[in-house]
Amino acid sequence: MDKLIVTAAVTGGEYVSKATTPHVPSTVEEIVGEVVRCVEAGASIVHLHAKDPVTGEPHSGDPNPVLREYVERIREEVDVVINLTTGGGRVGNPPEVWDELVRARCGLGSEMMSLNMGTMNRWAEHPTGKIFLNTVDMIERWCGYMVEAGVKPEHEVYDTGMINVCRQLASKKIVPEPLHVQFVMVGRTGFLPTPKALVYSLDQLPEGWTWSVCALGRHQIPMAAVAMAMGGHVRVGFEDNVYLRYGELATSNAQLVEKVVNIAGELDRSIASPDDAREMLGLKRP
Amino acid sequence: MAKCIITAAVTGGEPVSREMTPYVPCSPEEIVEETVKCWEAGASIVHLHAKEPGTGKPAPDPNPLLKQYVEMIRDKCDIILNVTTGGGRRATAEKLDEMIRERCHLGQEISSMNMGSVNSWTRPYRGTFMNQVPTIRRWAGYMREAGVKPELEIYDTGMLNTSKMLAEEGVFEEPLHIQFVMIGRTGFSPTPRALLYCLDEKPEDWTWSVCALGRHELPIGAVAMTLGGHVRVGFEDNIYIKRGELAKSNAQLVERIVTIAEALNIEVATPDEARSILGLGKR
Repeated sequence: MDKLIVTAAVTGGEYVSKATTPHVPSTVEEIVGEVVRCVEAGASIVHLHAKDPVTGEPHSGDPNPVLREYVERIREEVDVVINLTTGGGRVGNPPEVWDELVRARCGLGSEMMSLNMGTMNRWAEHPTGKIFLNTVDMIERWCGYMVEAGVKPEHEVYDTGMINVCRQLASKKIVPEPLHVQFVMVGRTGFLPTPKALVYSLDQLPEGWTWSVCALGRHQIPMAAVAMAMGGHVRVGFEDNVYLRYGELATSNAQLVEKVVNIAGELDRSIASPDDAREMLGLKRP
Repeated sequence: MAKCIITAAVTGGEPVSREMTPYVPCSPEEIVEETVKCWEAGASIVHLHAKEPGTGKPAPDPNPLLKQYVEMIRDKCDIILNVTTGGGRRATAEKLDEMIRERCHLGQEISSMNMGSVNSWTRPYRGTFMNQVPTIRRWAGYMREAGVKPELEIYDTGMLNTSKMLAEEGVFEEPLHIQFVMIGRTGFSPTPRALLYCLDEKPEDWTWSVCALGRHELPIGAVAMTLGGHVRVGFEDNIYIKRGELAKSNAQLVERIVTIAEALNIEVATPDEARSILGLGKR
């Protein structure tokens, strides 16, 4: 079986702030420190959102300067594959501005960027409203920006139809194959965080594509175990789950990385280094 | 096995107009005539969108037309009327709400309800089909008030999760009736495997039907009835009777699916039998 690529989603993304857990990193120093600890624990990719340094809420202005600082500071400290979100900067801005932000973000020195593969309802409250809008036109344009900049998209899939979208992007040669897919198993308005949903989804995925799983809350570690037993990769971290176990907050993202690395050890699955991950995913070295 | 309910989606819905097939009915008289033909062929439900007479494009002000269809059809046959909640979407959110509330009182027994937001891939309809959770909650309330049964239109597996959660909240009365709209591209694939996955997730006592687009319509219809489900056919989803040959009437598609049912020894439900299966009560 391939080596295991562990992605650490350390910043808490759009939903997790200091109000959710005091342990979410939010200053540049805290975020860089968490990244270093996660890499030491076995993560080879780090997924980043821009955060307000005090509250840990999503950064309210242009996220790009913040993300640039994260990238530069992380590069000084540690070797890790950097995966920037295409989210953030949406509140109060029209979609044309989202386009510009994403285009500019492709030049910040990350090797990968996440790309949401469709529109869906949000169940939870969110400042951009009840719809998570990612139109086919946005997807096609943003893929173009990434391909042009030599950044590999991580295709975030929330339900089975979004796999169909990935396949069409590949067949239309908008993105070179093999694609890398992150199954974001959110339940509620998306597919369920269950082995059955994952098996169904994998049956739809073309041979040779790489894939990873992240699931929310108490589903994070069990679904990671299922994915790693099936030859997939995993994402853990505060963006998806803030608990180490029932009722006990994790004090660092690195604890969640350690948890999956321990399981991988028992499964005799060796852990990919950042360079291994680059080779497996066909990434350009920064 | 329970009897199979056949829904005829005769009007072509939003995407199918005279530009695509000259056979799509678009005046009220044409729509009523198609409905009667489908009823004679074995359809027990008709699903209706409002069309612009002459062009077959979606009508900008749907309610008066829908009311006319309902009344005219009622005079001719006992088919169950299922009125879309689509159409008229250029209106503001408040106007649209008002329009849908009013539309629940046209005398139909069923209204369709889209259970989530999804992109559409194909031009010129590329865009986003928005159906937010709060909207679903509100419109479900209008249907409850009016005594209209919702037909939950599901385009991917997450919408089934949404349906179950809203049923648990008490937004809908169970057992529910689902229409799996297997559009592929941005929604789940029109395959037996996708259908089996969804059926495993569906509460046991909910009734269900399938519609699939184009060349998938009849094969997936056959799969659905074999599994004990119901089937929707018609120009809204498919305009061909076979490869390269346009169907001249929706009734041809109904006849074809009825022939398949008969060959499988599956009985086709009459409108009154469909009322009893769906818990619609007597007319």
